[in-house]
Amino acid sequence: MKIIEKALKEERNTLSEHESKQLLAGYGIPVTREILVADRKDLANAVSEIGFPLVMKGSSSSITHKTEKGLIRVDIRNENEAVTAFEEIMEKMDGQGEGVLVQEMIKGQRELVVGLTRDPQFGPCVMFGLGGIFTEILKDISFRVAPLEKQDALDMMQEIKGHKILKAVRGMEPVDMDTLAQILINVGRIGLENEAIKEIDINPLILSGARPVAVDALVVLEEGELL
Amino acid sequence: MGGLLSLHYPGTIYPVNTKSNRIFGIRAYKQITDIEGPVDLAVLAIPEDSVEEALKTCCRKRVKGITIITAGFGETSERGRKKQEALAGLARSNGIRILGPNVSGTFNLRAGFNASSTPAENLLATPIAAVCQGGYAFYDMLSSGWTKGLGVGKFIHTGNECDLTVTDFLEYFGRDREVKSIIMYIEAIRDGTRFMEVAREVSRIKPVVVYKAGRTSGSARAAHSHTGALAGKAHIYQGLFRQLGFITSPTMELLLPVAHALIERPPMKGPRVGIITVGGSWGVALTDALEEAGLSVPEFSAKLQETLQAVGMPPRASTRNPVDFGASGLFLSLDTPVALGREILSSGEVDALIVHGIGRPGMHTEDTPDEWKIFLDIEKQQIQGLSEQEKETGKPVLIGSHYSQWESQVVYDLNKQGVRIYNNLYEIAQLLSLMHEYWDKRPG
Repeated sequence: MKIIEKALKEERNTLSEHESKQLLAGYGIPVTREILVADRKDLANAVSEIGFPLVMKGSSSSITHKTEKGLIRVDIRNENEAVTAFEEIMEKMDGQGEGVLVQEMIKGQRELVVGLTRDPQFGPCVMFGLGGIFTEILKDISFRVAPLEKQDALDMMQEIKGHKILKAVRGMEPVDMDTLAQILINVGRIGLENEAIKEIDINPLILSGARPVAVDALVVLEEGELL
Repeated sequence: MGGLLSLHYPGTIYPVNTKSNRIFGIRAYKQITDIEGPVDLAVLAIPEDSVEEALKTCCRKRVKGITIITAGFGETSERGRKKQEALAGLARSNGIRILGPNVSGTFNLRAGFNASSTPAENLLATPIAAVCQGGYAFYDMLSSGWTKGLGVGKFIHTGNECDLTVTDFLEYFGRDREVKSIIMYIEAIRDGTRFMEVAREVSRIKPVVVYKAGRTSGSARAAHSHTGALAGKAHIYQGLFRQLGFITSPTMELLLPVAHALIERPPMKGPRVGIITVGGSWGVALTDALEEAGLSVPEFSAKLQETLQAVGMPPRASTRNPVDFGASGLFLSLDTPVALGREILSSGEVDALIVHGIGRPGMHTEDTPDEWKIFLDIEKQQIQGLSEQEKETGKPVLIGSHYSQWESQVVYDLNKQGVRIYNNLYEIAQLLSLMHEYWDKRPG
């Protein structure tokens, strides 16, 4: 994969959010519509293409914990706010990073996590669970070893304690189980087909009505792997 | 030696010992190469320092397999690990397989082979086989199980697995027609890919019940992502076993009872349970345990409740489910409990029946009055009749008593007659839940 090769050549061991999403999109996983803006003059076009309200994030493969560093602005409703946000973020990044990610804002209260890890005995394993900022506190997760069959994906979704969140709850639509199952299967395939990938985090995967969308993603590469 | 002799091993035993020329009354040899005829299996119970030399003589003798009981290899040190790898390499280059080191023993009761330190009198030859990465604790479970009619006919402890692993024996017992279900105690799998292949195949043919030990271990490698940080071994094995079609036992103590239940009881085709009790609180507590285990205790339909009343429930007794005989249950006619059980099981409203709270305390002595004996005899016949409903209706019937067979004559006698009595609410609920999990995915 070109994205991975490029990162490895640049001696990086993670992909940026934007690169990670491009990788996922290549495997049919729904991701947010977004445009990377490095130059102020491209901002207007990007903003009009994505549409309000939108989210803006500093994009850099070397900066983690964007929230804590003040690199995220949500619910931007007009051009003025967009310009202000852009300038503030660029200043905070202080020359690092590739620019600002202008991203559609996904509305949905249900946050899931989907991930990939490599077990030394069993190989690539897919993780599913309740996501969001409390992911590691809730630890409501399940695992399956890749390759996944559809039944494995459906089983692992039912195994978490909070599995009822996938149904029609509190006026929200039930999730499209086929799409969600396919996402789990495809994340497994990514692990099987790309030995250079060590870990993947898709958190949050937000349910926008019935549709799951990857709103943030991180791909970690194996250290010292040059293809 | 004691083990082998206690089972009257039909083959030839050659004790090999540098110091004595008779062991347990049998002629002993100084070296294995002194033995005239062929030797199939060499079991080494000798000090660590002597193992390498003994292995070499076994290779010269061209044995087919070697079991190394001796401990002190890979499980204690890096040096030990290298030693056992060297042993495995040496054996392999001579076409010989090794079991161990650090094993407690092996037995195949059907073949009259018991190379373990537990006398065969305490082992029950059932169609269940055990493949374990632990040893001595299992002899406790098996000997204790023997008193309750639980056991395994074939047992392997794989020890340090310098050559043969649990995967090899899972495969072997998968093909063994005498084996109807398999229990496994696993701490770590060393040949993941092959294990997954074999496991999938075997679990299609017969039930495999596994207990995974060592739950609290984090990921060994530094994790950059949430997923990496959350991927503890226990979670991964949990998902993996489901994927492979194994049934996971929640405790070590439940391993044997679950393996027995899966081959002795009819299939549990749905989650609905009917309950009959002597003592209403058993019903309430049992309902809690069943619901916590993911099963349901549905209220009986008006029609069924009328039928139960008509068959002979005491007037003020509840027929909603659970159905409690209460104190009056002790005085019901011989046929009534059986008729009630039959109505419930054939109503189509339940997938299994539990009868709990049976048995009175006390064992018979010479002073026990005849009236009491007759009274208990009636209870025994009622329970026997209820348990026979399993065959009649094809649905599982679990009989429970708070009393063990040492505390109640009724329970003791019923056990001897082959009616299994369960003593623990949690265990009963778990058994049914795991039976449901197993049969849910299989055409019964």
